[in-house]
Amino acid sequence: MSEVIFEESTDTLLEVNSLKTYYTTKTGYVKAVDDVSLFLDRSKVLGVAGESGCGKSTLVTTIFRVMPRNARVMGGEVKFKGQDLLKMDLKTFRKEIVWKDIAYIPQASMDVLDPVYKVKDQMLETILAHEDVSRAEAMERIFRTLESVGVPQEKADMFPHELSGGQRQRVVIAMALLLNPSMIVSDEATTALDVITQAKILELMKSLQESRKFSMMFVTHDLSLLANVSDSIAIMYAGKLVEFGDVEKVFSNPLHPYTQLLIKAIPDLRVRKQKKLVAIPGFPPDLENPPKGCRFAPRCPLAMPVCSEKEPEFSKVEGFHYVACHAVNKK
Amino acid sequence: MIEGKDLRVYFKSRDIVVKALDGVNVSVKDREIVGIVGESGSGKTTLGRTILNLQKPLSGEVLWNGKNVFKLKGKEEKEFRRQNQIIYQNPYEAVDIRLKVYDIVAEGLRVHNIPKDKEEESKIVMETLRDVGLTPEDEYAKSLPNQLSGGQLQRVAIARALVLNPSFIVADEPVSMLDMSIRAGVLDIFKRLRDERGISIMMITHDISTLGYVADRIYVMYQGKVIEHGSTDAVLDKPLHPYTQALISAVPIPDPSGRTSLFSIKVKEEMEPYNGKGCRYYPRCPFAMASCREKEPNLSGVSSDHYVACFLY
Repeated sequence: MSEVIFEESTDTLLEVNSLKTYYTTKTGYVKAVDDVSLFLDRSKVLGVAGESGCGKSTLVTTIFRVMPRNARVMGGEVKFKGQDLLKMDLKTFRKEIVWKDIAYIPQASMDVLDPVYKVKDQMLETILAHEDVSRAEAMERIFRTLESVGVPQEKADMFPHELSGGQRQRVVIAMALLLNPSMIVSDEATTALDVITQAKILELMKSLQESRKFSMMFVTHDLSLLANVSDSIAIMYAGKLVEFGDVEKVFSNPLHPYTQLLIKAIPDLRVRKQKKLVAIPGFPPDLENPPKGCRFAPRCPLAMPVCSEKEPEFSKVEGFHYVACHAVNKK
Repeated sequence: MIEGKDLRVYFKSRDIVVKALDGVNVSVKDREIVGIVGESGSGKTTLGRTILNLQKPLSGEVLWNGKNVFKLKGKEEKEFRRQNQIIYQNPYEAVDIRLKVYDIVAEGLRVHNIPKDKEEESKIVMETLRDVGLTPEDEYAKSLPNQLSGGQLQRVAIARALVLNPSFIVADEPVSMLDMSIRAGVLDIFKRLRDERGISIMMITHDISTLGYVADRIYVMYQGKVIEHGSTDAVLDKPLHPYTQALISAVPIPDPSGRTSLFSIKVKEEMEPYNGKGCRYYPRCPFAMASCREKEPNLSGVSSDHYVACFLY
């Protein structure tokens, strides 16, 4: 459907092509990711945003092949360095790709550390499971990596509960960096943190990304974070990609009515007296029986008759900026 | 309306004493939304619980229309419980998942024997569901919590507090679990409650940016102390305490063009442990002076609606 977007890619690392991941239920399918295409270039940051239930986490679990049991990939491919990850042998995928080339910083990541192992032991396990190095070499790397995320070496000897939330988050980031992956996926990694800690962690992730030149896929419901870290932005709604483009273009000229409302919903202290905070009326649709036509139409302030009849095409607006909306395409 | 005076709550964990509230004064007036902001561990939740007599303080008192709430007994205590409600951060944990929405909301009414009969009960419940934007209300009344989204369920939690016609509500992080896109809708409910029903609200949050849109006054807490308070305009437009300044500058700005100047926060990673006698913030404060290590600053007024506890002023 939207192969056109790949023309914008200059140095592709990840290419998600017409991906469909559905959950089977007693009564049918929940179309959590429905024909989504996007790409991520080398050394760039892609932000993926949308409300809960829009399919952003399903997208992540599909890429990592850790979907719940009732989820099935119904079509499409996830190409990483030209290779379709979904077709790889699962064992090889886990040994060669996960952690080694694509690392994951999960939601509520400060709680993912195993409470009964010391920080250094968990990190050691990650290295030794994937690489054939000596213990001493691995320890050396652990200390260096901890240092690079601002955690003093002596903390390696501690248990997770002895660290603060921010420090645990830093340890998880260090674990993602251990094997020097070319891509890191962060799923709501800063959502549970205090604002000051969040700002410092974001700053850290951005500076590591710039110095180590890995690619990052940054998934969040908070668009304002993406303005600060990403190069391109993909907006998802109810399993569909509705807008995709360069971060500056999407923020300065949001085209999809959904993106426009999302941006208006961000509290901005600089303009709090002039700007009223906007809520998007209604709730996302049931993905088992998504509305006909554009899935956002029932909540859309600009909906026209055609919107509930025909699904809008994903089309290019200008430069690297794509949108799926009848109201925009008409102009 | 409700006032906390010199509240102290200490928690003991083995041989460590955590001072969750260390001499906090706070007041909420009629028809007012008061924001309490601070990071985790600042004591803001303990403050909300103490104000509602859900946590007994070591010392200090809470005055509710002039009466000490810790001394209320019998009928008076029940009336206090009816008029003062709390809404929690996580609606999934706050409601009984086996009950239908109708019963979740009606439970409080039954406890307080408010409606005369089933008919009146149903009328009050349905009206309240409409009030919080859950329409069609008879559809929602029949649903179970697991059929609702987080935003819908948080509205149920608000309805449950509202059904008792309270005069004061403590809302503990009411929107932080919710998507950005629906926060404004929930915040609007609180504003409407203040403006149309004259309800006073204490809104507890770690996110100072949402307070900018709803609060009349703001208290900033740090490690069990109020370190700055004043009108929302005073605190947000002229933040004085270095901690308040850091909180405000840590709010991400939704504009990629200003990226280079972002994260202008000046906060030190806490390198030295707190020495037990100085200002609590000095280990992280970029402006710390010698005197900050020696003595704790007291809150003092810089204007009639702006107070700060910092030696810089």
